[in-house]
Amino acid sequence: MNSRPLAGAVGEHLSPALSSAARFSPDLQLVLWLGAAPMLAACWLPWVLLRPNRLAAGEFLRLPPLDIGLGLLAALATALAGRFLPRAVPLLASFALSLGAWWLGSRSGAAVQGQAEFARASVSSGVWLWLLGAAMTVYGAGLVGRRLGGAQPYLAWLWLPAVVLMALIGHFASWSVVAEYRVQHDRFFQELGRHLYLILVALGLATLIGAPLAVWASRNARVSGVVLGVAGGVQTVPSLALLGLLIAPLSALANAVPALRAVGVSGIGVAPALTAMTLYALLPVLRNGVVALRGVLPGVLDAARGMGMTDNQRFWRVQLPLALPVWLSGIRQAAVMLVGVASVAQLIGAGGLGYFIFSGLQSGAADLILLGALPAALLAIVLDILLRGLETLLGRRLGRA
Amino acid sequence: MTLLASDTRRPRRSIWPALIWPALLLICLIPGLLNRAVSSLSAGQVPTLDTPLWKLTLSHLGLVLLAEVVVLLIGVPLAVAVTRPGRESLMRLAEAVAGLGQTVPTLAILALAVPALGFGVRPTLLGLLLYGLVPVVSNGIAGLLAVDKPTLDAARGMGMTDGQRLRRIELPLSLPVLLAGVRTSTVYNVGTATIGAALGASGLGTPIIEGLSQQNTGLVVIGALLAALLALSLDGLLGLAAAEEGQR
Repeated sequence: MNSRPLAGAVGEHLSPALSSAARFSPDLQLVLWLGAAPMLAACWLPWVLLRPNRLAAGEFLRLPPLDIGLGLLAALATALAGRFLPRAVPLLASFALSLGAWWLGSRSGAAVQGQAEFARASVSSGVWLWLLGAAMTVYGAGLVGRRLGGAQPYLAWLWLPAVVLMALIGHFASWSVVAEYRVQHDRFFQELGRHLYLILVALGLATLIGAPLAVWASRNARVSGVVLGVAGGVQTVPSLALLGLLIAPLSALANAVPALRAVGVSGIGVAPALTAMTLYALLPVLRNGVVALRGVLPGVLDAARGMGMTDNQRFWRVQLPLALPVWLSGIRQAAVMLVGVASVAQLIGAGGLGYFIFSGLQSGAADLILLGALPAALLAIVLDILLRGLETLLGRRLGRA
Repeated sequence: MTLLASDTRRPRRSIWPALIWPALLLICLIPGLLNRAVSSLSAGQVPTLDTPLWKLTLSHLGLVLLAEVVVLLIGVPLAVAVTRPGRESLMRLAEAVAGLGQTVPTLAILALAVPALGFGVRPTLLGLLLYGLVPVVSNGIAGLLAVDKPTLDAARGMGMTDGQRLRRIELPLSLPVLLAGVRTSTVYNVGTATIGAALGASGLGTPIIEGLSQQNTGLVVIGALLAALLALSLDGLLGLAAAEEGQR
């Protein structure tokens, strides 16, 4: 870790106080400054947009002078600590991010204080810029923490419980997006459930269809060429276009076979959305399946044959377990992609979080857009993290068994 | 230098398969042809649009290509900057941001930009830039990192400066990987620009959105077919360019 040559200014006057700082390459400090710059700018930008109702024009409110001072101090302290006191960086970065979240709640709360019931306090450029900068700082702090070791990496995550706690005590209650959520509480969970339903069913169907195809294709070069080529072509087609192209054949099918209409097949709605999403998810499932199954070392399979295993046993006990972690990463890619396709599915009447995005776009209500877009983005990120964790777990369990 | 400027190319692969999609696209753009073909889907009426189809296709293509040029102007220097020695942390940050960009749904980014930038081309262009940057930056980084270290040492031994090594060794050697990123990013952005129609950016998404709101299936199919053909055409043509580069 210390083999890196000491750079310029830090290396020249190496004093005991600076010895820990000297362990960091200058570019790590650059990351911290990259995060501090948007935070410094955010202090002067408008923080809250207060409007008499959710559609009217409004006035921008800035941070009070005392908070501006605190903000400047917090941003500068984090960046400077990278140079002089690296041990404090993870804690300071967590503080900066939590501070942004705290101000989001407290400033919007102060804005709607004494206003009429319909007044809405939306967050403005300052908040987004602060949160962006603080997130980069936290990322840099995570790198700092990993080099310091000990409990330091975890300190860079302290903002998470802080923000969750703020949410639980209702600190964000005055934020316009939360106000919008309160109005549409039931609808929100209905559409979120629909979103998850679309993703899970499409992912399940794609796995059910894709798994046998991948096994077949992995044993035959010509089949794999055709299957992967077709799936790749489908993936090239824009998702909205695929949804649109499926309307005509599916409605024709429903008209020709009335029994299908009875089970819900039609040109508009859940059926074409699920068909398109399943087709879309097939490529990552197939491609990773073929790559994973082919990637199992021939020597391992020969050893299994030498142990007297039948073909079936070799597949189920050796090839599949070894291939599973890589295969799962294809399923993760498919799942993350499906979160995005499912948000567009509202356009053909399939529902999901896209409902809020599109009704917000139609009525020009920014808060409604956020109510759909923020959970969709969070859902994708959380799904990605969870499935990555599962991959690592499976890799550890199966790879070294 | 032989690996860079050799004129002895291997015999070319047939280019015709890659030209099927552009040819189909051009046929579909013959005025009136596609509209009449889908009239059975619109209750026998020939669906008409305010803007001719070739204009929509051109503005769609223009938007995607404009975004791609800006993406290259930002993405390549960025990838080069973070892969210089001693910038590991910046590179990790760039990779993390690119990974995040890949995860967050397109529509969410486009929609989040609307409150700040208003409706129309601007939020769509922002979305195209952000989404286009992801594959270019991550492939650029991957390509530059994959350049053989002994090759670089040899170049240093020949007395090349850092700039010379970058221009004559690193960039040419990483070009195939970078081109693959450009291809992904362009094809992906055809889809992003389609969704941009929901925010008021004119393009091939316009007939899809209009058709869906008017329950005119013919109109939807026109837009969807052309958008699909445009994506497949660009994929084929850029694949051809990448194959040429790879064969050198």
